[in-house]
Amino acid sequence: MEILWYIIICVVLTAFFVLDGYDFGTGIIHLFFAKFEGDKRTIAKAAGLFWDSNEVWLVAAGGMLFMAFPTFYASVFSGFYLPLMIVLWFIILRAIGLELRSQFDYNLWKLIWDRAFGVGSLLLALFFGIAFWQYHQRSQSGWCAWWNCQV
Amino acid sequence: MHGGIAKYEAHYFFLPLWNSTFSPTAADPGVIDWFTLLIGLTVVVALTIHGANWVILKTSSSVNMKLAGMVRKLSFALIGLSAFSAIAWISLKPESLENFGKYPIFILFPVLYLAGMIGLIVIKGSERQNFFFSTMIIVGGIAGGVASMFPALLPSTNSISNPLTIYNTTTTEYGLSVATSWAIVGFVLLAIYVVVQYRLMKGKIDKMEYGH
Repeated sequence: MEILWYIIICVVLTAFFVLDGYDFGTGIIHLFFAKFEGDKRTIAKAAGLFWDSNEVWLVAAGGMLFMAFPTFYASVFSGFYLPLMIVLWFIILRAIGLELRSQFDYNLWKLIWDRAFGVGSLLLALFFGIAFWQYHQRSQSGWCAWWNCQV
Repeated sequence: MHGGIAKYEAHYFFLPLWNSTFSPTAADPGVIDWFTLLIGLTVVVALTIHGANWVILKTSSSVNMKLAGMVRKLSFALIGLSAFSAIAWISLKPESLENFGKYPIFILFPVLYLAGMIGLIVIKGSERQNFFFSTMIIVGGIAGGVASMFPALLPSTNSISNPLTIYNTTTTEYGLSVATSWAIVGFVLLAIYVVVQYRLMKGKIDKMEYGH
């Protein structure tokens, strides 16, 4: 049963990275490659129409982790507090950038939220990589020794 | 750690953002060091390729030609970054390879990653095929990383503490059975949502309405 749940959570998390991963990439492309308003709008649309359903996978993975492996969930969310909070900030920044850019037709308004979308996506991808491997690397080099943990 | 919660001194984050040496092997490592930055950069490149393939697949944007050229260049960059990361990873944590000997099926994941990279560079595939190749890279990379740790979730390297594994962090049998019932309902809802949304947005999206 544990292995089944482990596989389910891995599949859901991988689905999130595959599906929302292209949203991150779209944001990075929007930041560096979209020069004209038409391209900016089209590229933002390629992410904007899908990002909400893609992020449901992350919510599902968090819920499943809480249900199946509560001790691990508690340890990771307290131990990795700073990197996970940083990831959360960028998730929020990216989403509001996408949703707010089209609310008013003013250049400065669009510029601000375009940058929020692009920079949020770039740093989100960077910090997901850092957080994932930070966890992998640190967990194998004495997290528990440092925390003095006893399970 | 008490009851699964990490203890740390009040008013301080458990982990600093970086330390003065910027080294992953320092006694007081931070969140960011040269190795985690290298992995972060590799993820950025992989996701940029994936995003570019998605934009090419779903739109007829005027930047698509430029993006196709960029995907090719970034694929070469990804090969270099992946090779460098793999060497650094093995030299920093050689024990990470043990699971691939113990469970040979796990070798499929790095192979999937490699196949995706080769596919992007060697096969000049259709828009759909290129998106599939970048998907292979992401699936192979994540699954390979997770497989190298199995069954540990938070392994311990000292002799005092037990590692956190899927066996000692799981909830009770009753809890898992309740979780399974809820998860089935959740999965059905999730599947309906995703299928309906992707069917509605099928094909190129240029003519669809989205904001101003």
